[in-house]
Amino acid sequence: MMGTAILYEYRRATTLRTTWVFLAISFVMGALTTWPQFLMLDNGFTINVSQLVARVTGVYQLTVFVIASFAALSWGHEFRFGLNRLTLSAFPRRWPVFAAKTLGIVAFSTMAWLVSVIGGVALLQLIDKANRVSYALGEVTVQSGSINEVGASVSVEQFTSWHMLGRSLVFVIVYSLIVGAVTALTRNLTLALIVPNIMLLFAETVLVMVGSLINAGAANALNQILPFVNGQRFAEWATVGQNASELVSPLQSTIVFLGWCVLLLAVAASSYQKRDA
Amino acid sequence: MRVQCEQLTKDFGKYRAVNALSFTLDAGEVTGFLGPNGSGKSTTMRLMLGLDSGSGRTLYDGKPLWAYDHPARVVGAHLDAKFFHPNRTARDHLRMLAAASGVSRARVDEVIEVVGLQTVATKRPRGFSLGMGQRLGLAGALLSKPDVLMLDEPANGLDPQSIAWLRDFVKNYAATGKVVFVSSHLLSEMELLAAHLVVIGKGTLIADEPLSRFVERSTRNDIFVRTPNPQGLIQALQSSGISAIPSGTGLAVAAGSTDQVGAIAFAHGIEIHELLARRASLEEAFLELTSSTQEYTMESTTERDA
Repeated sequence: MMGTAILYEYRRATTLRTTWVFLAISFVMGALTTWPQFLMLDNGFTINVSQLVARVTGVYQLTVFVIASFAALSWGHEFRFGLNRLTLSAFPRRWPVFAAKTLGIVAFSTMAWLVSVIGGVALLQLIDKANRVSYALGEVTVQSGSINEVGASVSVEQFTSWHMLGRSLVFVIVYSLIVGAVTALTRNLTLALIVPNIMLLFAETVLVMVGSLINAGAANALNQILPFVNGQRFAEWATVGQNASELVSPLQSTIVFLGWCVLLLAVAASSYQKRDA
Repeated sequence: MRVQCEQLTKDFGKYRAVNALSFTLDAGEVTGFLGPNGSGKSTTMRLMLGLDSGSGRTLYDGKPLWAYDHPARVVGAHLDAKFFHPNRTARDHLRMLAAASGVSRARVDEVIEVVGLQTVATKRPRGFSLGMGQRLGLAGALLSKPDVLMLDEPANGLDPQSIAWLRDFVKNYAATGKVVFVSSHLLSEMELLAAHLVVIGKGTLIADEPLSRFVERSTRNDIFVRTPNPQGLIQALQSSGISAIPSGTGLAVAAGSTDQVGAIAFAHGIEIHELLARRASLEEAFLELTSSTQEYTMESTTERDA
């Protein structure tokens, strides 16, 4: 049953033009978001390919938004066009459908991430700036600093390039899964596309700022539990906090970010299992 | 294949949409599913497919649908003519559904031909008419040659030729030993299509019987007699325990057969000009037998004086 559900999901995704359009947009976004950033560097400066990747998917949230749109449409089309009833007529056991869609989102996000990275590199090749990119996957020093309104604590750490690449990819996948879960839960495509992105871009930052107006404890509490603030810290591997007792380590942020994803997926799966099609 | 629905019940908040429905569908005949608007027909079909949660169960040859390895090969359902992505071509839509039942690409092309969508198979269905949408939905339901074909209002939007084609197709499909369950508002069409009826009103079972028996239950079944001596015939019939009342140019006799009425008239020396058994149409029988369960009713078409 699981194999059949995966094949069904594969056919669903690949027979839809928007899937390919999103891949193409990911490529273009990867290129466009890389170019201006890269031109700012001095001539002769070399950037590691993993830093390039971080710029493509970590900093420019628009690329992530495009990639995650696939996840929203993957669920959203089911409810918007009544396809859910066709799907579940063929799969009365619903969990394989949910699992297949989740796998599909992971697969597409991975592919689109790769395509956006390739897009960035391809553009650099095109404008003859590729010589500035070091493709060696060695160690890189990253000054990461997600500024905490309560008081910034910027960490300067050394990572292997693989570490950065992996985090960038995981961020895209987890964000897409969250968007997919919200769509499955709300059955509202527009809402699911907009709300997580607004949260990611500024709503959570505003919340933390409002919290800091109340007191430092509230701001720190929000810092510790909000999904995308922690998601960004995971992507940047930043430690924030005013003093030792309030420090949020990158590992804690990772757990919170992944925890939100698992929680939303679990609630969405349970809802999908029980609700009328 | 035999489909048994047992105590199907569905509540929407405090409103009971389907109330302890039990009926059986047998192979080899078309079963019509009738009920006024809002009576719970579509909800019942969704319950049968496990799409809606409720109580009761539906067994397909003694097993729930989810217990089958390939449920899509057991039931093919067409529930709405607009259940497709507007930008996925008709052929791709069917290829996607084919993946669920493991049927070949050749079968996809076959059903496209069966429903007559060859010329638009590679087109996106966003511009499809309601009738074309019905054909696409039917094609999807037929893909795996399922043992049970479930169609919700499949004739809506079809032109007369297409309706005639659908009728023949569905009857022939049932004749190959399949279960066919069809809901429709087109009662004249249902009269030509179905051999058996399941009739519901306000979610409750009104009838589960052969169509002919359902129609016989109507009080509109009578015998029309035209005679130059109506009073004499009324008295003669009453003396035999049969009531008759004036009706148009003759009499309406509530019981008995044309043979019996003819024999009574002959015995009393009453001349008969016309003797006709009048059978209620399905529509008349349906309206009469479901009148108390109409969910939504309209004012008379004749406007009342202010």
